[in-house]
Amino acid sequence: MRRHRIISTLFACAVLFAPAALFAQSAQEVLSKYDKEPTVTEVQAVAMAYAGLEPERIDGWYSSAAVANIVPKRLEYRFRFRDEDKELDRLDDDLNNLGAVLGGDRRRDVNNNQQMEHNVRVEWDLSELVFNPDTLRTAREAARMAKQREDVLTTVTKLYYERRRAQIDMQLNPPSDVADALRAELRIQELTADLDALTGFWFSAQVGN
Amino acid sequence: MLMATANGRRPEEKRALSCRWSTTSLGLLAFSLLCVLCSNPTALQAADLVWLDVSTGALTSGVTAVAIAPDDPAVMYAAGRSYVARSDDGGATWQPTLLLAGSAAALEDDDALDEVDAQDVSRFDDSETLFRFEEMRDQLYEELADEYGEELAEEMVLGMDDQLREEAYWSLLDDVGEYEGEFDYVSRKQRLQEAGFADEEAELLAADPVAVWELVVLPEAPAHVYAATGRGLYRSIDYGKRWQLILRASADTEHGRGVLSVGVSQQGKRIVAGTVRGLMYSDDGGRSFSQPLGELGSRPVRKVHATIDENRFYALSLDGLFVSEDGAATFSELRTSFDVENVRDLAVLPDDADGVLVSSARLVLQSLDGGQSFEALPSAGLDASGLGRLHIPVSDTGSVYVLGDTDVFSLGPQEKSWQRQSNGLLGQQCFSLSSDSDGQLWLGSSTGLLQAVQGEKAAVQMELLKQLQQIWAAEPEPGKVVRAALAFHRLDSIDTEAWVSREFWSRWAPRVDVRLSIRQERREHEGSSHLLFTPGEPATVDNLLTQNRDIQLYGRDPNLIWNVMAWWDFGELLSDSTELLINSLRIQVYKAQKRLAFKVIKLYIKRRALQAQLASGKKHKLKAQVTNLLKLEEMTAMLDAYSGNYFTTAYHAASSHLRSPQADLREEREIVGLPPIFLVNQSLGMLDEGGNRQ
Repeated sequence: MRRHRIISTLFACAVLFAPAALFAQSAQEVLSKYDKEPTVTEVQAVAMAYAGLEPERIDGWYSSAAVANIVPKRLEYRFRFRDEDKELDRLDDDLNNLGAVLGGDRRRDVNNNQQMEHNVRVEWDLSELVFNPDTLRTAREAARMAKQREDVLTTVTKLYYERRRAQIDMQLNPPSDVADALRAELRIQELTADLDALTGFWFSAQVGN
Repeated sequence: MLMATANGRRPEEKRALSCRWSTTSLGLLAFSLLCVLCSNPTALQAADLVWLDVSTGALTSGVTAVAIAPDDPAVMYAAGRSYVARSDDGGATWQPTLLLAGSAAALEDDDALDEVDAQDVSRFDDSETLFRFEEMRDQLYEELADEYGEELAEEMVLGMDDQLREEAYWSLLDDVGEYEGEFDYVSRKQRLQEAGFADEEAELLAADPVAVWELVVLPEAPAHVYAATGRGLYRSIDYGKRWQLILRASADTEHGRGVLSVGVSQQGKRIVAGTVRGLMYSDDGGRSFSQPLGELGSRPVRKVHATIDENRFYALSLDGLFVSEDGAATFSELRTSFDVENVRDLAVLPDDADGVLVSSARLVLQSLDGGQSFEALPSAGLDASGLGRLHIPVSDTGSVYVLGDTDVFSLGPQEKSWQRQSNGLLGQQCFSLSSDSDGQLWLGSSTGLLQAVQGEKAAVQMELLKQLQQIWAAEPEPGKVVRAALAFHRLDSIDTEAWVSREFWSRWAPRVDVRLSIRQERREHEGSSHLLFTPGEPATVDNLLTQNRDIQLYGRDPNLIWNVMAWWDFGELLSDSTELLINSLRIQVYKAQKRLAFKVIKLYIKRRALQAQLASGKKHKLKAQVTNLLKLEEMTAMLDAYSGNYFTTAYHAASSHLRSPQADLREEREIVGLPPIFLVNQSLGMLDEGGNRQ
């Protein structure tokens, strides 16, 4: 009994599904023609990278801001070496009243000085170790970049699908005269150029391949 | 990471989220239909409504007002931001008949309207934009001065003046954009004021020159259609084919900026317009307008209502509720026991000029004596956060409908509690409700136009929605998508509260200077002295009298000298500008978070509305089918773009744990050994475990 019920259910479903299935398959076939073109996710990622708006950049800035003040604000090293040799030779004669030499006094001094100095000066701003104001700049930049990123991604997605719709329109409703065909083709080329501008000509290169 | 995900996804996979609607939805629809037909179809109460999204074209951008020709239910009007559209076939197809932006053809005097915009812009430039520009310039100067010194920074900032000014203007417009979702003029204005706009600017922005606030069709003259818009009052006398601007919303006239509501009687001879600067009336069919006498001031008039009595009009302003018995020439205030400031809408019974209803934040009040006294209708069942528009169907004057933010409530003649009539609503904002002479209800919402269905059709739709719930179960919830979006844009980890605390303690930390010096000195001294007998001769034994010799050597070990200095800036201890910067940043980040969350949720609900619409079983031509698939795919791609691919990734992760209805059927197919009917269906959109198209 159960078997019969299942069979009848499935038969009814088959009758109901068949037109929808065939219909949907056609839609899929239309779309599958463009499967070799870059996906929207790829285009978004390239556009984001081309605009220098990857969120990973911000992580790096925060990390840098966090550790920046562990290292000293100023580190100074000075080295001084002094080598000084001095030799003094002094000769004194003792004379009597008549000018005759009685004797002499000779003195000789040899000085050899060597000085070596290592000076290290380290300066920390402990207040910036507790809170680095660069964090604020990073956060402000993050908010600004989020807005720009959103703009870029929205624009590139809209252009991508606008182009795809134009392609499908041309495929399903081929223009009847040359002027319309040219206009439609130009529209696709314009949208491709827009995508190129946002991806650094990556899009055309991929479509060409 | 994003790139890797994208590269790792097959073209078929990227379409999975949208395509599964083309196949499973159709399959599910048929299956549900079968289930419903074979099972008990009375799961819903007979009176329960289910809303079915029937939007096409411009309507998908949102419908703020709906009106139906009283003599022919097939003729309908729907309006949204910047357009009025008309349908001649009961809502099956729509044609725009009035465009408030982008089309000069439909406008009578486009140049004049453009002047209004230009003037608005110049006003922003004078005040709020200037303030923002200066704020931005100061910040930039500060940053550049740190980097390049004050002199160079000053030159650089001067060179960027124009760019900054433009950026400030767009920043202002962005803020305005955030308030587009708020339909009610007064709420928009209040939010803009809360956001820091000056009164006059908030008034200008809230009036939204391209908003259509209300559509009215005259019952006694169905060809006459009125559209209350931000640009003024438009009238058509040929069923919406041609429009004429009869009351211009000009900033430099006393007429005010924008018409919020309109009431018409005497077959169009007497027109009363509620504007953002008070009431205007005409007793010559719109040729001239003047302000009525009486207590009604120049505050915004939320609603004007004509009645079956040609000379009686009601008006709801921010200050009070007013009535006119002389065709709008004079208005007098009705003394009410409730706070009129909270009243959002006003409705009058179609067959009784004394029957007045008003909706406040949580209550609906009724008067049966022309507004002299009001009593509250039952409040049981009204659990919406805020009540808005009222609707009394012409065909059933005993019933009343009121719109919540995202719900519809109804109260029957003898009922003691309100019924929530929100089946089929997916979180879209409800703006306007209308019904035809047969009682068919139409709802204008943020996602478009919805039609109420009842009985068996409603049961089928509900069953379908239940099936859709299974698919939606695999999709991440909106809150999670918002969180993912904030995380992706790095807006979630900005903890300004912690920064304020850390900044305070940082003032107590000194600057420290440590100096270390290692000095090594080697000094040798060798001294000798000789007393000689014969000077000039060498110091030999014979010649040497005395000899002294000493050698000094010291400084072999290095010496270490160190000192530590610490100093504080006591001025900073008392006040530090960093705290102000954090506060400014907090506002900036909050705005960015709010904007992103608003966009994600709006898109999420729109996507679901489109899914539900496609699943409703309406058969489309091939091109429409492809267009719908692409539209869904675009929305999915946008959600992925906002959330860093979280939406798709979460869907695939969740769907792998769910058992689909197809899987049950496939199992049964295997038991009975039938041909793979369902695999045919499945292969059209669903992916196998490896992510490949089957």
